[in-house]
Amino acid sequence: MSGVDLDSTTYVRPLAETDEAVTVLCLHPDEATAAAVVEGLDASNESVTARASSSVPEALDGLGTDAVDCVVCGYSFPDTDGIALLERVRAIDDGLPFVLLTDEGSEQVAAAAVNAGADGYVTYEGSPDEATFTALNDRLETVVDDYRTYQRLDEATDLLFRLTEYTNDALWMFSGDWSETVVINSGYEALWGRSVTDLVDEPSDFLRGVHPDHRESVTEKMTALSDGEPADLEFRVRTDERERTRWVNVHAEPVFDDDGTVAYVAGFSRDISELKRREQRLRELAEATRRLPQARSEREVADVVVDIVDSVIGCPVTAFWSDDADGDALEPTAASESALDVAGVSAVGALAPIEPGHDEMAIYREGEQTLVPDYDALSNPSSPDARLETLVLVPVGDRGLLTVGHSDATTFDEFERTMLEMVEQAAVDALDRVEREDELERHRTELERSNESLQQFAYVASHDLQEPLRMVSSYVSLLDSEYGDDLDDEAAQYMEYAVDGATRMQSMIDALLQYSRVHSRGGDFAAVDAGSVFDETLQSLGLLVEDADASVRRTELPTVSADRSQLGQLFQNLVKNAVHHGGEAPAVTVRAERTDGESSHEADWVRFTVADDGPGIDPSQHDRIFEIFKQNSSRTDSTGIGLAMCKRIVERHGGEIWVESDPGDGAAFHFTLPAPDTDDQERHA
Amino acid sequence: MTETDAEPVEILLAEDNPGDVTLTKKALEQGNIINNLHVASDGVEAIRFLRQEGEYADEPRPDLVLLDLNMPRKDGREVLEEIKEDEDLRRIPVVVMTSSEAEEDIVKSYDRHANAYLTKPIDYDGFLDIVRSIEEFWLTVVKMPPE
Repeated sequence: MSGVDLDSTTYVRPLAETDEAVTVLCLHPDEATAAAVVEGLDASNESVTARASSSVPEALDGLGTDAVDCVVCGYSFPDTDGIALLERVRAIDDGLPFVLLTDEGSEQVAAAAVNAGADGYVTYEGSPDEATFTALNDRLETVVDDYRTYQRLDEATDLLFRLTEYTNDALWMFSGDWSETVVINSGYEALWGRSVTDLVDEPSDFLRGVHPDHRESVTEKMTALSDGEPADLEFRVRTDERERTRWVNVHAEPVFDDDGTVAYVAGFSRDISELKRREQRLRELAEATRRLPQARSEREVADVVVDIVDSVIGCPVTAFWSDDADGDALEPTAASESALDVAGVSAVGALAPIEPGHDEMAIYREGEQTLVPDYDALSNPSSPDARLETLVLVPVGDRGLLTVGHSDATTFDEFERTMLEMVEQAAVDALDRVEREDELERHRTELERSNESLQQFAYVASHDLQEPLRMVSSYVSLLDSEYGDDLDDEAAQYMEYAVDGATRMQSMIDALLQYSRVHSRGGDFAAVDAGSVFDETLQSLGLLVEDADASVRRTELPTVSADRSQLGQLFQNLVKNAVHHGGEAPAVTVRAERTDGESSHEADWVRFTVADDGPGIDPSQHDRIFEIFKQNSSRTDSTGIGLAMCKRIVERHGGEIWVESDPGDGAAFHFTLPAPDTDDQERHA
Repeated sequence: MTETDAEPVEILLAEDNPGDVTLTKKALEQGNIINNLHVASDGVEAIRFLRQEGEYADEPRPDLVLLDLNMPRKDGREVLEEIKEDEDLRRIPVVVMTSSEAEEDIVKSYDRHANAYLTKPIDYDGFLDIVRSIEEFWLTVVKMPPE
């Protein structure tokens, strides 16, 4: 590395490459001596190129332009001497090595030469000989080397100095105790609004510029730096009398000397006001987008989006055009006052839709945020009469187009466009959510209507169907009690069938009623420990389990968000079902596992499984068994409502129920229930 | 109790279903209490009976009303409301007897100050039991204010 070694890894490229050759100008009043020295030097040192001159003016003229590394100069000239010439050479280049070569060696001349700053003094007698050249070469090597090093250092210092001048940061170095300003660049004045002179006079002058609120923390850090701790801090600086402030970020390090004491503190201060402003705007944007989740319709979302772009991003000429999927055009949904003004209309509905063929539509289809620098220059704009200059078109997914414009030639900076991108993201999320909610609402209304019908039916069933049924059974009984003695066994048997039929009809009506009440009588959902609900249920089934010689086992069951009593009913029906259909001495196992929602805003689910080792269920029956009164066995003491109830309960919780079974291989009933909200869990934790 | 031994108890049955009328009659016949069962086959008649209007001018004031909810012309809910709003009639115990198990019917009946709400059991024996317990409770156990 041929850069200057500043005793660190800092590197400064040399201004120009210098070769190893040394150019020597030999100035001597005697032409022959000059030529002899040139010849002698050339011959004795191959890296030296010497040039002779016996004319003072010619030699001095050449110094300004020619690259000369050293002047070898005689003493006695017709009208001047070597000492005077040394001064004239130094006036041209104050570092250029100068060696006096004389045959008039005297103590006085030598002393005068050294005092005048000559770099060497070589004498000869008669004419220069080998010994002279050896002595000259010795001197040359040393002085040229020194000269070149000095030159490079000079260049490097110059470059570093310029570097400090060209940065907007304030670069500084103070003595370890802050009593002396060591280095300060002009960036300080621009940043602080205070003068370098004042800081040099009094190093603590910069503190006067620090906002009073931050002075204490700044002084604390100064002390820490003096104690050898590096510092990173942000604070405000008052830049003028009008109390305008800017934010600066300071990074500083202590500089230790060899014995480990803090000799200097050095660092830079950077203007981060713009960064702070952006942070602030991003915070405002984040704050403003929090209004989006409250929006209940596409129109409300569009209104909020337009308002955010206007008030937070500061682009008042803003409108939203929605893509209602079935139409070809983008219809205006929301617009700011200024946007209406610019278009010359009084209501959002009066804005011209964006039709296929319009330039805006093409950009919307492309799906990329696009800057239109000059709206008038578009060949086919949707609103040719609008007083618009610059326009940014922001496609909002496939939901619509956000147009953000200026009526004058204001430009959009990268940051504004990034913020628009963020608004677009938030808008897509909000519009997706609104659609999901609409869908849910539609389903809910539908479900409500169907529940209402069921409700009505249940009422009819519980009242109007009961009465004739009661007539049948009561009068058959009455017949039996009053005329029973006159009837034969066969007639008694018939009557028994009639009563039995009516009784079964009655229990079916009851079951139907129960089925209809899953929704109308359901309790609130709460975090419920499925394990304890299951245990209670199992206890109530004790006799049934015992009679069937069944074993029922469960693993750890988690907490779910459910209607406690319905969860119990669910377990009860499924365990009963498994015990009934599980063959001889059935083994029933119950387990659960948590499944994560597909995305962060989706609920997590718990999947329960109730499995038996019975004969299994034919795949053709897998859906049918969940239908009401569609029992899959000929047992007459059940109403065939158990699994239908399970399905209805699970569906009320938003979950699903299904069966996996192969004939001969047992049956596994799975159902899903929502896990409690994470918020709830955190609170419990 | 000595009084009821001497004088038959007057019961008004408001019921449009002749089947139920017969069953109720049968049940009361088998009971221990001597009673006169009067039948009104719809709500309008029931009210006229209670207010002793027209052809009912000479009918006695009932000690107990057995009221079906679903009847033509004026249903049991209205009858109940009119009885309980009438200062002269409101003390007569009204037992709603119906096939409805619907919760809203039960709640609404008690809201209208029914004295009891019973669902007619599906089987005959159950029906007999119920009528007997009505008799027992309302006509012997409960102490009613003097007329």
